[in-house]
Amino acid sequence: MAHRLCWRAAVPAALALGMVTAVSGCTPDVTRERVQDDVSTTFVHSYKTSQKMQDRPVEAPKLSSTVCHNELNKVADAGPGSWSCEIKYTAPDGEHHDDEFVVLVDSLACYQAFNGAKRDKEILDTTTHRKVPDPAVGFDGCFNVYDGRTNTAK
Amino acid sequence: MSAVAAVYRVECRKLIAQNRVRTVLAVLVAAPWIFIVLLLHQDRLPLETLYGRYLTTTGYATSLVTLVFATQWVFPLIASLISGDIFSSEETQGTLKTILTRSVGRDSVFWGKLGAAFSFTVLAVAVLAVSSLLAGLVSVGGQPVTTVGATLVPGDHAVGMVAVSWVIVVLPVLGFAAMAVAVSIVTRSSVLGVIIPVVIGLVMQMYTFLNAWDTVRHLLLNTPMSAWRGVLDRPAYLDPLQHGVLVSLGYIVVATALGFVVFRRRNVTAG
Repeated sequence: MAHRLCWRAAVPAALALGMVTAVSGCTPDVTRERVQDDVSTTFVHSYKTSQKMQDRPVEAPKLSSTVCHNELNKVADAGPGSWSCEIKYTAPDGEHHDDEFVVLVDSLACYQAFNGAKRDKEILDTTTHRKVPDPAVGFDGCFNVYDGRTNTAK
Repeated sequence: MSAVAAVYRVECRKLIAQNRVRTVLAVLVAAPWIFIVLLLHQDRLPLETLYGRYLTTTGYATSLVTLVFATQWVFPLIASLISGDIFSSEETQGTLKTILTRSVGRDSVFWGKLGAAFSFTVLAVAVLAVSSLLAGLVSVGGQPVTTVGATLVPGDHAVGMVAVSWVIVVLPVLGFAAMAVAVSIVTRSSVLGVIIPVVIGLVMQMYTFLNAWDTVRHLLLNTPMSAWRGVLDRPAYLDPLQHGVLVSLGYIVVATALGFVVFRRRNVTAG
């Protein structure tokens, strides 16, 4: 009797779990909106961190646009993998830049971004007097996949 | 309660006397030191690993990179090696009958053994955390940390951030330990008790490499083990942590309940 009751409860529960999984599984965690937002914000922070480490006046670059696309899944333009992000900005000295970043996004919503042309650039950290990788040309980032932003429009 | 405590004390003494457990703890002490010493003698940094680019910039990155690696492969192994034969070894050696005819009840034996397994799993995580932190601070120094949000955190604040990150992974690691205990009870096999949770951990890890349903990934233990990344971000976000706590508790409760029920019903006189 107890076994029957267990089965009667377990089967609908399993079906409900399966349906929830199937339906909500359609919205990817790694969307273009989330990648673009986080990469542009983290780039600005990285740029300022780079200036601070070099003991320069800390000023944010003026972003004109950030456009990211998934290089592996071009149809859906979503999901983990290699993304390319084009960041257009004006540096505090007035110079315009159009930088291409390779962004390796993992399935747990973190990424490593590299400026393809200046990947190995180093700066002198004035605090430690050591050469360190320039945060402005390579940085790590993570974004929240529970933030409710489920828009996957391109 | 005193019966549970008595079993707990005995089981802790048995665990620390095992060569396997001592070897695991020794490896966890040595591994971060070997890692950072080797890394400091090479030209390139592991840029494709979270915090890898900062390994020579700040000592705290050693602990965080160790945590990234450990959440992927090491923690399921640690949990299994410590907890995977805590029940089955009694069956293998035929000592379960003698334990259960003493003055402590079957429930006390279960909770005492489970408590010891969990305590040593937490100890192993703590040993790796402290060792990796010391290795980084001694080898590189306590310079400010650049978070994943690309903001600088002073060294004295970074200690707390790193400590919180390691505390966050404890619950999902206990999920693997609970699984190991359950498998150890159900299969009565020490080999399977160690291997099956490791294989489950590998399968979970491989699933995270696939571009498959994200909702399934949220229900795996790998996701809660990475919840610390959001806590270290600036601004921090706690949703993955809150979700991860529920998922981890789900694994712990289900696995512990399964082990408890099977252990209660086990006919030890037949074995």
